[in-house]
Amino acid sequence: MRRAWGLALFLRLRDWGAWAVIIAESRLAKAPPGLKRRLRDISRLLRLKRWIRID
Amino acid sequence: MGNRPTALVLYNWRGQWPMRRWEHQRIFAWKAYFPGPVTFLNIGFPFNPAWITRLDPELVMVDATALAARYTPVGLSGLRRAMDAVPARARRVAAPLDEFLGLQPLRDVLVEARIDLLLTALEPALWGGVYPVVQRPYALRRFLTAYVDDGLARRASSDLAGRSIAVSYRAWETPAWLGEMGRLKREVGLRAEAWAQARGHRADVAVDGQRRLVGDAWIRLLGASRAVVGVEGGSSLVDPAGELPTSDPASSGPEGWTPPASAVVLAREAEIRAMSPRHLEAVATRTFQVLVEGDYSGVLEAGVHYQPVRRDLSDIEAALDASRDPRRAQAMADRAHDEIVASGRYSWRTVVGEITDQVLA
Repeated sequence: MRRAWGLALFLRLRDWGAWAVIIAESRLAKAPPGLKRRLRDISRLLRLKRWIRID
Repeated sequence: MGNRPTALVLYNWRGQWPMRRWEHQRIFAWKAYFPGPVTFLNIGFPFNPAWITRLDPELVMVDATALAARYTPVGLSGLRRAMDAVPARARRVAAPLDEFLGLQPLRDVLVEARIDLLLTALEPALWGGVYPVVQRPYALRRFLTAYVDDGLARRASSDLAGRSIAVSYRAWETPAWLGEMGRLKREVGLRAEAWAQARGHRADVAVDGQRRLVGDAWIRLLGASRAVVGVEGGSSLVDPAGELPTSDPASSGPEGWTPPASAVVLAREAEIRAMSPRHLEAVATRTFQVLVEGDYSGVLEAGVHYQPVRRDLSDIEAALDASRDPRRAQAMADRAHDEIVASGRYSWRTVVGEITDQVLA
């Protein structure tokens, strides 16, 4: 069958990027409350907030 | 190359790293053992359903984590969007691990998503009750909660006599909604710790989610332990409507908790039980297993592959004492390894091949 190689490559890169976010999320979850609050203040962009789920 | 089948694995993962080894294997074993290119799509992140349509895979594997998206409206909507985008010709396989939670939404999703093959850890005697034939347009196949990957199968293990830890165990915070099965998970660890203290042996036991081990750290602990205790995974409750507090298990301790009216408390013979991944991992590390007696998905046989303990734990001390007999304990651990791991019968390589043959034949 015809294979969408460009799309497959894009999705692989997206998956790697998602894992980078997951690792950051897990570190954030273990961060002290003060640091979490500072990061929450920094993440003013709604889209960023939704992606890295700081709030 | 052009004739090789393609597969798409849908999974859903956020916020937890590192993963438990068996969870990582369950999702990514397809990469290693599927006979063609595999694409992975984490539906926990924003995605465009058109990607799935354009990929046009022959096989779509819906992992347990993707099916667990049904717990929340947002997750369920994402799962539906993904499955709606799967081309009609693709064969669809789903593998839930948590049928006792949100059972009716799960049944609905499986039908809506036009699943062809459902992989379940339930014993066949329970299939009719959990997935009534009239609501089941898909085939069922028994599937273990985990299999053995090549790396684990090749792992070298030291002799039991040379291991420094007498007994080890870990349990997460067992929420009340697991019922009697959850209470046993905690109790078996505490009793093993008490045994080690009384005999002056070294134990590495933690319950209630303390000193959690993930990745290879857990395998290393098993490999350094003479014995490990355990009980089948599962639940004594079924939650058809999805009303149990799954999002916050810590808030629902076993004391003073009553299940919602919609939950079904199962009789002991009808409990949902299955072998947990840790039992296969212990076989792979040739660790002597002292387990509450059970069927263990038909894989582990009492007295042959593990030392059985009565459900009231009245004989757990005697069973743990058996681990101090190095010849007998080593013989049992070696037999389990030969029959379960070295045979390749329960390997990811075998099961991925069999599922592929079944759905793409």
